[in-house]
Amino acid sequence: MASSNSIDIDMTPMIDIVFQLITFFMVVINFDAANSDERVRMAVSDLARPPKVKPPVELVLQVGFERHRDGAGKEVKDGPFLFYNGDLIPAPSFEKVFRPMLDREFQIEKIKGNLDGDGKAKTPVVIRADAECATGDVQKLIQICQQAGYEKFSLKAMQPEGK
Amino acid sequence: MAIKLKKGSGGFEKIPIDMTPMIDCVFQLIIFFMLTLKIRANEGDFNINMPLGQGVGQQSELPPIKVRLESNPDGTLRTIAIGRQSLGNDQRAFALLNQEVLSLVGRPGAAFSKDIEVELDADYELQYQYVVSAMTACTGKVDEKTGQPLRFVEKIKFAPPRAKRAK
Repeated sequence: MASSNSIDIDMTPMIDIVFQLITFFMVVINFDAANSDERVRMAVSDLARPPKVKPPVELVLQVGFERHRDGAGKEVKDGPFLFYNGDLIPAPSFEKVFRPMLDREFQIEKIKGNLDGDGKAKTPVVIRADAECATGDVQKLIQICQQAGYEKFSLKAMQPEGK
Repeated sequence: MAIKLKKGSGGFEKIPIDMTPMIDCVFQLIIFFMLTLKIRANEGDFNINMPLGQGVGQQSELPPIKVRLESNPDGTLRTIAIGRQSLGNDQRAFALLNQEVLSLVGRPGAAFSKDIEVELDADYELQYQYVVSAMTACTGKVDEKTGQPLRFVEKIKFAPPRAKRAK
């Protein structure tokens, strides 16, 4: 890098800036958001605040639409679907398709000994539902979870911009 | 970038440090962080506890505050009612709902506010955003001075789901 004939370039300012950038990205990065599906456009709530203590394990269920544009450029949506482990489960099939999956999840909870005194799962179910979903579909999902042995639920909403 | 000095026969001479691997790594890191960065609003949550088969009000001795949310066939809000009182279907209706619940609780943080339960009874087709707005209106408000949330109801519950409207 520095031979007798070469010109020394002072790298210090560049390295300073680069470390500043790395620090900035490390501070603003939010790994929690990595689990959230962008197809779910949640409702906004002034009172929505992140939990003070995040549970170590949670079962995240995301209900939303597949949106696309038609020939005229108008937004068309299909669904609602439950986005679960890469599968798209339509709302009418929640009971038939999702219930067996949930039963398997509950069996895993049982094997891990993660049940409370009443034999119910300690793991909370986090529901991220699209603002335009039918409430009945969300309730149906809650009902299926209850039948499978989950009784703690957390309904997600977005904080308003700038808060 | 040669910083270190070594005493040689002809005085001090520079020891060159190869910065290339470090700069490579640092740029890799920057690219990783830039690609994984998602700027989006934070999420918050409403906790609800719904044991199976438990009727509304069985946990508490106090009767629940019943809020009915009726929908139009397209899923928009037709009306909000608390008890038998209809509050309308616009933003003002949610403000009124907030006032009504607060008047029933007394004041934010009242001793029995932890025992008070709100039961939301929504039509099947109602868009979920109205339920979130109703939950917000029922559970508290944002303090205008501090910007912090003041919660006056901790327990939210759903009434059993209503049947889907026949098309």
